[in-house]
Amino acid sequence: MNTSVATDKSLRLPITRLKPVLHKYGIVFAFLFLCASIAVLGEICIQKGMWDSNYFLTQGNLLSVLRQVSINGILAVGMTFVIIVAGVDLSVGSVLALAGIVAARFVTNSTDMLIGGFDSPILLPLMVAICIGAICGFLNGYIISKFRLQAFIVTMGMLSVARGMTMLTTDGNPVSSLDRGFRALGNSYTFGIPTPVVIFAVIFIAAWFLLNKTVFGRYVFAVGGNEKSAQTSGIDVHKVKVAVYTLCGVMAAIAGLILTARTGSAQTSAGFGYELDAIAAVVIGGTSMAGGLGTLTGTLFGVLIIGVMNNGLDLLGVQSYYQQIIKGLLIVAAVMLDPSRKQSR
Amino acid sequence: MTNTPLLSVKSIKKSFGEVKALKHINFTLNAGEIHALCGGNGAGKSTFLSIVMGFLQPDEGSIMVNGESKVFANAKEALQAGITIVQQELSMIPNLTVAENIYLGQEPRNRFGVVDFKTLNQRAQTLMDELEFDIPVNAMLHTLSVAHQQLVEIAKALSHSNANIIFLDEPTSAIGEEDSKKLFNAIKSLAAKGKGIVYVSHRLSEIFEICSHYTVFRDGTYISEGLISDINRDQLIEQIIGGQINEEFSKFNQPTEQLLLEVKNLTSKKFNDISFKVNKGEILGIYGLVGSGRSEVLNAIFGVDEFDTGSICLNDSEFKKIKPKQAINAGMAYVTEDRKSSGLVLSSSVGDNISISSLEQCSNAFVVNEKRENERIEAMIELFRVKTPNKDQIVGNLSGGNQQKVVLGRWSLTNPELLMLDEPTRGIDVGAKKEIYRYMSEQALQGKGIIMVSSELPEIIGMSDRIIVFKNGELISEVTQSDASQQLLLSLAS
Repeated sequence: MNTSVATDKSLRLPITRLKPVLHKYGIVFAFLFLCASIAVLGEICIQKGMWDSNYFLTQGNLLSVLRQVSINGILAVGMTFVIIVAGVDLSVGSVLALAGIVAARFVTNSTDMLIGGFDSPILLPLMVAICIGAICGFLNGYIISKFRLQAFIVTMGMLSVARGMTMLTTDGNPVSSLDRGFRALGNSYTFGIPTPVVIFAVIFIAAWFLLNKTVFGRYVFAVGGNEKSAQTSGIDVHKVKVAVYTLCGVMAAIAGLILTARTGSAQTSAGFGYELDAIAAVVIGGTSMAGGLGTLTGTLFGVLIIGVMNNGLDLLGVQSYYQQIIKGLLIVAAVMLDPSRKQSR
Repeated sequence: MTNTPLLSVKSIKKSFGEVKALKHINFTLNAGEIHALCGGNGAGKSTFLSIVMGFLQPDEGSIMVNGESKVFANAKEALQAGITIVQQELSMIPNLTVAENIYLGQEPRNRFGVVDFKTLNQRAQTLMDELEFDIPVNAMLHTLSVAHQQLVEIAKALSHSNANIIFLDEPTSAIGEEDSKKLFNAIKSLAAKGKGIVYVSHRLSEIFEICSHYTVFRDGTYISEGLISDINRDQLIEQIIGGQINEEFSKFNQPTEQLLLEVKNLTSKKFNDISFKVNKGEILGIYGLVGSGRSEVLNAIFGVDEFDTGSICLNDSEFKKIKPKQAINAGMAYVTEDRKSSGLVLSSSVGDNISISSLEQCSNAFVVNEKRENERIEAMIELFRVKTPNKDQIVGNLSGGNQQKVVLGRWSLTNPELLMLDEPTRGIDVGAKKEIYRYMSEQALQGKGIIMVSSELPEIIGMSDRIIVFKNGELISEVTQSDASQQLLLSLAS
């Protein structure tokens, strides 16, 4: 009897010890597994003579993956805050387009413009875009919180309004032949790394600090976890919510600027459906749609997983239709494995 | 009427783990009776109802319906045996009509499988006529008053054609006096038709108004039964509270004459013209039944809900409008009645829950000084002896008593001058209770003021210097500790 108990324990211990580790870093393992799988498939392609070398693992390819994911990454950072306060923002794709196109109009006119004594193709459009994003986000948050409406409905309204205003700005035409200095925002390299990646990294670190190290960050978790308790704890729930949606709007605007700069023109259809990729990244990263639980690190890996998967499947010549199917399955699987689900009985 | 009782329950026992909820329960209901089921908090009424309704299964004992022995595996089987319940919470669908609500799940269908609304409405109308309820059956439920919704709930319970044992659990808690009368008439006419009614209520005056029989439970045990006409109010109260001796309460505070809080003419929809004072060093008890406005007043003082007129003075600051943040800054702390829904963030850690209200005191600009924060959290975990592996444990995983200590720890960090505690010992074990009593006395001894709402009579008498009693949103009386007795408080409040 005694011995069997002992063996039982010795068998169980490593697993019980591993469990929290798997729990905490599961997403990292998933990401590494994905990378390894694509690399191995690449090797197989070489052996079969389909590839001359392993494209996936080249520095150029990996940097390009990072550049591609930086826009979704910036959106997902804002989305993480929103989802942690138990909300959602469906309007980020449209706000991205609106901010991008208005900013682009200021760029085309900015050749003769002097700001603070120096010629700046970036500063004015940047400020304009951020203001637009902040206004859209503020309106979302204010309406949701003040009138106690569902975030889904309000931001769906904003999705349509912002897209309509985008069209209206240019009568549906794109704004192109943008100033080279502005385009640098999307195409140049800083310290050998694509500038959008650097911007994403800076935003990510700042947002991580805000969420984990400041009073505001704690309030975000409290409001999302239990609004009523947050209120009785003395937290101004309304202010927190408005701030979070405003932040999300600003993130959408910055993403809009980078996308416009990278493509060299602002399209009225830009950012169409981007909100879904951002939500997917947050959800895959383990943030609970019920609010109160989530991490930005998880979101980062969620973004990377989607990016690497798209890139890997592209390289392996898988039709984009399949990519959508795989992404969909991945989202549902991630939510099924979400540890927070058990708590929200 | 036959001699076989409609319902006969014998020697029921039920335990939840270590806790014996029902030790020995008997209950007999005959046709035509309106039978009051009486007992204080924790007497075992809810567990008993759950067993008779088939939600729970007893560990021992028998249930006989019309002389036949029954074991209910689920609620549906109890319903088939003719037992139905009208619960405290309304459980109907606002956007359906009265008739649709009554026959939800048992709609008549025509031969195409589509709901036959004509028959549905006719049946509902017939039922309403029988019950003499004057409610239009095709009205949307949400257009009705709460009282009428309660009547619809009763009609729904009776729509199960063979229902002849009807449990009413605090049916008047949500409705006014006039509608209560209508409800009582309906109950009486049902009993006259030979149905058996079990009436569960804390309101003794109602019991004496309509009931014919009573059964008393106390501490999970059957105590007595008999005819209402054979007992008076004081005797019934005696049966309910028993020879309970007041437990040991660590009370060692000394009220001072210095005024701390003055509430003047506070009025809202839920309470009317409430005025009272709390001195430094004093523990003020608030007693009242559910729905008497006791918790609502605390919510208003702390700014969780708004009030219409009146004011709150704490020390020298007067508030005609207040928000929780202002209340905290003025020196108030509020432990809410339901720590799970309005006290704690269950998905967050013990540490985060402790520090959330005083983060600004341990942050430079907006950045939290984690070292200082952790010291403060650890100090509270130690002070209140919170049983938790570490501060990062999710608070939802702790026991009730430890969760309550987390809430107290949070408020201790804000250095309050006035502590408002709503049912501070509900659902927690004896050891933790004692620690909470001791903490209250210590705080009062240091000159803080304490308001405690409680429906536990021994506790409120044992801990309070003065007790104010609420009834129907009014402050109806004030009693000093030396004058207070369980009989007095219960008869004032009910």
